[in-house]
Amino acid sequence: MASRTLGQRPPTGAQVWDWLRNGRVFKSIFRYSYPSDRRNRIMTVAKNVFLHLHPSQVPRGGIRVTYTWCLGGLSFMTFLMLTVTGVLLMFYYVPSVTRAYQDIQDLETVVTFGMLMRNIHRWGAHMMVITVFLHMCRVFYTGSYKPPREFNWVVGVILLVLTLLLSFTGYLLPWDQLSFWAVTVGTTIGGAAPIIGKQINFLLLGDFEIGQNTLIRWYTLHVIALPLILSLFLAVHFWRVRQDGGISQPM
Amino acid sequence: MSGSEAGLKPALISVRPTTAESKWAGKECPHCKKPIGAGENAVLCPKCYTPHHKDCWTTHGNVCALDQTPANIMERAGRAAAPAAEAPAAAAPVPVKAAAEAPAAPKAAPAKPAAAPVSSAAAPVAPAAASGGGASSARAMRSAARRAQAQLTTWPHLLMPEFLSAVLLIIGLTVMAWFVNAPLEEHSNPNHTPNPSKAPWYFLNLQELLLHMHPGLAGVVIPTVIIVLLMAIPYLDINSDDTGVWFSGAQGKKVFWISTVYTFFWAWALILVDEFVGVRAVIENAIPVLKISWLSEIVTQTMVPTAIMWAVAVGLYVAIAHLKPTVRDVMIAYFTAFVIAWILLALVGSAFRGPAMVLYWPWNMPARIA
Repeated sequence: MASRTLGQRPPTGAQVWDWLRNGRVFKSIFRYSYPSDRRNRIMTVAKNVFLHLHPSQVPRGGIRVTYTWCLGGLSFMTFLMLTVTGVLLMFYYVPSVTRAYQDIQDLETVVTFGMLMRNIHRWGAHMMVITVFLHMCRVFYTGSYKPPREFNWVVGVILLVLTLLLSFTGYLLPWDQLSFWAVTVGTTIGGAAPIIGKQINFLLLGDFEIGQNTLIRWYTLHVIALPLILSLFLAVHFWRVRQDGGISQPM
Repeated sequence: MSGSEAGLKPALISVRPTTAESKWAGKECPHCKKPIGAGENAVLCPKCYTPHHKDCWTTHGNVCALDQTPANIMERAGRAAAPAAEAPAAAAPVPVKAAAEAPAAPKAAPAKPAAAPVSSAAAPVAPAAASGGGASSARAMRSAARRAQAQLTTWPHLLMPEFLSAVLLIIGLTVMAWFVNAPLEEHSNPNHTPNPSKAPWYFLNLQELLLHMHPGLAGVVIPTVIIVLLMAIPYLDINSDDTGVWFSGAQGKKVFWISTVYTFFWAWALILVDEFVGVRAVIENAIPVLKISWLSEIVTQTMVPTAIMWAVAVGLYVAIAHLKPTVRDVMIAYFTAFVIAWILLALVGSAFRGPAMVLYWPWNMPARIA
């Protein structure tokens, strides 16, 4: 850039934008201009790491909002929000029976935006259960589970179960009366299994009653194991949508 | 190569619409000795590339009229009906016609048992498995209609709604989180049980079942059966003719409403009867031997609830039988029963169960004894 000499006008906003847009830095990130024709739009989706899970073209009927209600996408987006807020919560939360409750109280009172993060995480968890369930209903009532998509429906049911497990394992972590007794009720249900009920109950609690062992088990499942497993099945789920003929369409 | 062909399957060749620019336009078809004109469907011999009329190839016994190379025409209608850049002008009427005819196709071949094996057998393989028309033509017609449907570029037609819904979700959740705080009660105390103690709302349907039957049945057997049945749906209902149609049409919608009303009625009825009559006590009083605890567990808590659930399930089929339901209709009936029962029971557990899990009106709900 030539230095500005006296009396020269300052550059207009459009000039600055133009200089940024055509500069080497910007061009190194986004090589091409806004894709305004069909070919470039197809290339944009096919060549972008974040977008290439999508097919580059989609049938008009299959993406009508009143057909999909965006429920699968909303479920995934909620999962991403839960991941982000969950990571922030992990900075402050220690899964120890002596600290857990105090950490939640600190999050609510001391940590900047801690309360907001916790609230988003909590309501997002409820939201995800709802959107995943509604997504299942949408897929069912539009007959989108039918061959060749039958296996992806099975993966979807697994994802629903994982969502419930994720939500439930997170329920214990605040270590207040609500979480403690909800988990007591929930694990008692699991302990009622025929024949191996006692073993299942011990497996869930890591002890004969809810305590430190339970907390660290559920915490580990909640922040590592279940999200990883869910991500794995999510990848299969998305992949199979394309492999099994793309989004189902109304005729 | 020709020597080994005996043991091999014949090749699959695709139908090519002819335009004025096609290399074979105007060439003579070796079967009927007439030139192949623009607008006609042609196929090329896979060995010598000699063009034939599509119909001539079939009438010639699916072999090349020159060197007798066998090949079946691939009925993947997408090629024929929606040609790519090859023939924009001449072939344009073809996809329109296919699309216009397609809605009639599923009606012409309704979901009768005869159709089911065809679709099930063909499903895992690409529908291209060619028989040269005939049985697969309805199927080809449908996929032709699908392919002929306008294809929009993902950017921006799919990405924009996705982006907007993501933004709305972020805003909505943040606004809610800003104004409504997540609950946090007293520090947990194993020695002090709040009354009532409830599971999270999405498990309250199970907890509600727990009030009426053996915990093993309510908390383990029923959820397992539900998950297995959910997973089994697409392996029971294998006719994909109506994929993409809400409720598969008017009849399915009717089944949906019948099932909704039916399930709503029976779920409430059973809850209220058990709450105010007390089925277990009634049976135990009628048959004194059942006062023995373990026997009562088996009879009143396991066998009776199971029998009632079977009866209600069979009753649902009876309720829709007059519609002569297809497999899909039966699926809609039972899936709807699951959804309605699941939501209703969770609702009862959340809003209608008070201390000691007794039923209250939500507006008369006593405070939780913490």
